[in-house]
Amino acid sequence: MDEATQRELNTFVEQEQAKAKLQSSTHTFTEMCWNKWVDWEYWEYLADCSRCITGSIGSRFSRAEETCLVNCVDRFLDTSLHIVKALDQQRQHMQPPQ
Amino acid sequence: MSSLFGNKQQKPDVSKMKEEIQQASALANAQQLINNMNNQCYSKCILKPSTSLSSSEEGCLNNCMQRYMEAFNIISTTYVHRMSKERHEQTL
Repeated sequence: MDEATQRELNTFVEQEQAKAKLQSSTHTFTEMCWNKWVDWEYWEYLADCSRCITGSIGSRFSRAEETCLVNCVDRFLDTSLHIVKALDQQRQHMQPPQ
Repeated sequence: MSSLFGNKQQKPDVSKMKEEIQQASALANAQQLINNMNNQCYSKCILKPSTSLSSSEEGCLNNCMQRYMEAFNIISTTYVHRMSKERHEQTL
């Protein structure tokens, strides 16, 4: 295999790996938010006991459930950004004055 | 280097290799989705495991699968949207 082909394939594999990483994170978020959704459904049930929870899952997500999923992943990303920023600030604080 | 099926030197088919890489990646992605869906829907639908799946359990599993894939798509869209937003903000 010539060098140009090798380089082309390397770039391609890197792109595919980046995509796979994104997909893997999406799986993690789905599992996490799925459980949040189930908890949230339970919370709804506690808040409004007249709502009938049969234990089976409804035929479509309601607007509120969809919003809950969107907020779930967005707030999770906010949380991780916040933690990184807070740690960075702490680290800057700990550094001796130059 | 001689090929397995003769001595004729074959040029590597790059587009075929790319296709195979993409297929392997898609397969891994689908397997992970199926695995996670299996775990989540089992714990949601099969509350008391008996000798066989009841029709209500099967109905629950069908709904659960659809919901899970729907949730995956919503989250995928949100995540990708968020990533491009962050990237856009970084370049400003």
